[in-house]
Amino acid sequence: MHAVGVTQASYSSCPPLLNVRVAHVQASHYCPEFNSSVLHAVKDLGITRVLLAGVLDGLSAVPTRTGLCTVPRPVPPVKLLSRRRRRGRTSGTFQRRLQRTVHALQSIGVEIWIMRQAPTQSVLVPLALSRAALRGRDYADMGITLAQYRRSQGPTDALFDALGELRAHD
Amino acid sequence: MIDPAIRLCASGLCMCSAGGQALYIDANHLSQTGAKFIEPVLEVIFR
Repeated sequence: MHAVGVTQASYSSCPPLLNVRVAHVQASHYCPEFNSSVLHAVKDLGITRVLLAGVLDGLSAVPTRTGLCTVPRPVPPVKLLSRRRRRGRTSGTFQRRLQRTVHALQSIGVEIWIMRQAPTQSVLVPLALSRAALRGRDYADMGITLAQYRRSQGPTDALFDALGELRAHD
Repeated sequence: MIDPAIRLCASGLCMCSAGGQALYIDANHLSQTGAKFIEPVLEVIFR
């Protein structure tokens, strides 16, 4: 066993990607500035390994309610684009920002790990579990299937694969 | 690439709970129990 130092930098509704703002989520208003400052901190603190983790499927080709990825102004807001164009822009923006983030970290000698997002359940879990328990139902088998999860991650995985340097760890 | 589904979906079902404890605090954020549950898949980073 050996001691390691761990530093977490997280900001609600802000994916760990440089120069990205999540549309219509006011909570992440300073997301680009936050991630830029994190990059500087990684460099200044001499951090050698970085794990990028977040809810990323809203940033890939699948439009969701919770996250469409935009670049900061003056690029036109995503909501003004057609759905088809929006998908393409969102996906392309995610891919470019992911590449930029990876390259920026590589340029300062950081070992990068990426974590696929946890499966998104179709229910609010604590609420669903509570209701099931109150009704005497078995909730041990509650959850989406692995196949559903893999399908939901297909577009995001394709963008990860496009990086070309990732290895899966089982 | 770290894949939390290796732990969360080991049986083919992506579980909402384990040992009677919720693995999520909503639909997509892991609870403290959930974070501990996927600890084994994160160990590779610390080797």
